[in-house]
Amino acid sequence: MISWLAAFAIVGATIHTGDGPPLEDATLLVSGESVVALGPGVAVPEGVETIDGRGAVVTPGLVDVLSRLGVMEIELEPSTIEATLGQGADPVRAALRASDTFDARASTLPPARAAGITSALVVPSGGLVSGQSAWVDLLPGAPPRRDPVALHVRLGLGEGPGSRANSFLRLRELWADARLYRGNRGPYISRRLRDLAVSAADLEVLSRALGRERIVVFHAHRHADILALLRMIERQRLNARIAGGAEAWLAADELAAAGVGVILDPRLNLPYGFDTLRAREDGARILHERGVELAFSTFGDAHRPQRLRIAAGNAVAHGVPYDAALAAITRVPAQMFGSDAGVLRPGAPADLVVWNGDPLEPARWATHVFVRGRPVDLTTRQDLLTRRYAPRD
Amino acid sequence: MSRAWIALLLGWGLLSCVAPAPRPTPAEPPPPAPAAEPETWLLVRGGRVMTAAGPTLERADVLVRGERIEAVGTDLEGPAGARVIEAEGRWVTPGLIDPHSHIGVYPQPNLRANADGNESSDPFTPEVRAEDAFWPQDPAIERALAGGVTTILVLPGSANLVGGQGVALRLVPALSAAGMRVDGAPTSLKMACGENPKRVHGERSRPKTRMGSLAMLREELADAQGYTPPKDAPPDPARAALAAALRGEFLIQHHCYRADEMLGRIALFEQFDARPRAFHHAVEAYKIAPQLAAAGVAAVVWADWRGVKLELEDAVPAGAALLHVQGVRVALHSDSPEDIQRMNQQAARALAAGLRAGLELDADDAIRWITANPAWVLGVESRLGTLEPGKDADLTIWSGDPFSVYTRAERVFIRGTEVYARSAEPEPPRSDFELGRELF
Repeated sequence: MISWLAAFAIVGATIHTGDGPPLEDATLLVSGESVVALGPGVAVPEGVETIDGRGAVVTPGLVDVLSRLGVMEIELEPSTIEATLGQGADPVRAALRASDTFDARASTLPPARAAGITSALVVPSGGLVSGQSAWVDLLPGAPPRRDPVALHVRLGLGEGPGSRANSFLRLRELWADARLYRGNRGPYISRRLRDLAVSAADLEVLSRALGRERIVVFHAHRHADILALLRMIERQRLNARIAGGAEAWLAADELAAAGVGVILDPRLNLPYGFDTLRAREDGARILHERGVELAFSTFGDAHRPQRLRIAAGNAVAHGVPYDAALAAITRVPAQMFGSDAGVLRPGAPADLVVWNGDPLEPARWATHVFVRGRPVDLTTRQDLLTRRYAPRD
Repeated sequence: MSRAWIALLLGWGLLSCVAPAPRPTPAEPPPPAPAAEPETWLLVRGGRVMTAAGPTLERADVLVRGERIEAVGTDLEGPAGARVIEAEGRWVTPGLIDPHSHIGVYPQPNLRANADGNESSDPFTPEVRAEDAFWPQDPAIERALAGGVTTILVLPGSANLVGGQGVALRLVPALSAAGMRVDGAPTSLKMACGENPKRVHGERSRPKTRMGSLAMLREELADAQGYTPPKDAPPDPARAALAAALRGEFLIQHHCYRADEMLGRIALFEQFDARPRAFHHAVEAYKIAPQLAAAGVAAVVWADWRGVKLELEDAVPAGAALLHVQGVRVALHSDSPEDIQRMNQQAARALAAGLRAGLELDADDAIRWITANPAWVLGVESRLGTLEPGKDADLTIWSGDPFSVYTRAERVFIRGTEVYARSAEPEPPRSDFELGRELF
């Protein structure tokens, strides 16, 4: 690892910018927190430290936008799970913030950095309206960079009959209440308004969603649900994304027309339940070909961060063009949530990864990771255990 | 989705096991005898052949006669009329073997109605058999096949200290597990320790602790030791199964995460002159590699599974490599209908983690983790797991390097019969469950 430098250059590398085909035998120059220049002909100023990039591949730092990094440790130990509406809690808490409990020193962060992830949207879980997510840069100890970012809605109030119908009913009531609140804050405060279903804090967040100041992420898989959500998105004029999307490929044209992006795991190809009966491995290809904005995610798998890049590799194996697959774990998810990360261009944040080969190949790994121009230590607790128990010669 | 996945993981990784009964039971038809057809020959020509028994052979041929491999080498020729597959630019490996699967007993869709992997009515159910719950219409089967997998060990879950009997199955089309059995493969007996049995049973009875788990198992083994069925009364299938395991006739497949618990189980079984065939989910096996090597117990691990339970906390991605370089027989397992589709990628990740840690090993070592070594775990190493003359002709032809994410299985053969061929267009589903659902 190199120490934090005011400026450095990576020389002679293959550079994927996250936006278009790669630059070969190129140089990338960083100063402070930003990319200054990149390309085949970039000259390195005297005195600037260089990293030999020959044979290496440089990409933007990877971005996981449905992440549970820093808010969960051990799934079966409830005391280690945060940013969630637990069992028996009110299923509607729009005002909950994942950022309140985000731990930038959690044990899941170093492996994520070692897997090339430099930013994440940390999302709340549980309930119907789970709360709000936060954008984090994976710098040790750093607080969230932007908060709150999006409101997260999950269909399904429990597993009983009518779960979806009840979800839609409650959502309609919530939007109606929030719209009433939005136009009548004064009467609401002086108690001249009819009773509203949720707290003032929740109404405030829902009202911002109605004003498109807050992105709404709807977590849903089933084709019919996605169509129903698209109608709701249009009626309420929401700035929305679909997450999950096992059957989203069936609604590709409607999604493209509505300009609603999809976040999915391209490997999902099993009928886990009756809402994913038509999951297929080339669903991502179909969405891409029909012009739907496409991002991939680990879906909260905080413990296997390598899956993000390998999911993109599997998408390529099933027909997604390479550059689009790489963009789906860098530029596109960043763009979806208003971040300037995920792309390498002059002026962009210097979130970048140097790989010892193709970053989508499981056989390769990251050799250097920079977050906002700072080199991060790639040593993990797992590495220390490995060293402790490695055989001595 | 993550929530659904967690539920799945609970079903498989966390809770896996069942118990043995003497077989065959009368109601069970034997596997159908192969039709008496004239012997067919198959020549897979000019591929890169990873035999899993030695170094990769460049531009080599695999000659298959009927159900068996006749020869592996260069410039082989089959008799006139032999089917020839030109495999130039392709890679050929043994069919992959997953030594820990709950396909068919925790099938898709993952609904309560389908959850048949844990007979958690008692901490000891050695008499129950996974094959009696196995649903051959599980849509995960054809996806595993498309991932180049030819054989799986289907195990009960880990809710119980002794969960029941596992069965080695070939992924051939069949109407019940009986038609898929690897004939002659020993029965496996699933056992478990650690968090799952005490979580599942501790609330209402026992064990409540790890010490309770070990004491209860010791008692049960002592009771079964030397058991022989009485001549004048019906046999006790539970004791018979445990006794068979102590005699080494049933292979003990022991779910166990922590190093201290593995050492404790090895010591316990030594008191009965027995030993486990393998520890499964053995994420801390790398801490006791010399002891495992000395005891001859295999370690069945994941490349990088973590985070679900506290006993997974010390899992390391270089674990398989650390074990391998210290002489332990290592196998990778999926424990998942998702990961079984990409066993080759899992091996690539485990190999890469070892190389990143500076260990000396290569692809010819890693291919054994998903072929020859799991064959040994199943007790079928004389018939499966490598490409060598005399072995069953279970092989997968890959579009390229099997450790690349872009590579896909193109053709899969089981006992010389082509059971999968990748086509450009989506094929109708094989499982009855999925039939017709994609059309409407």
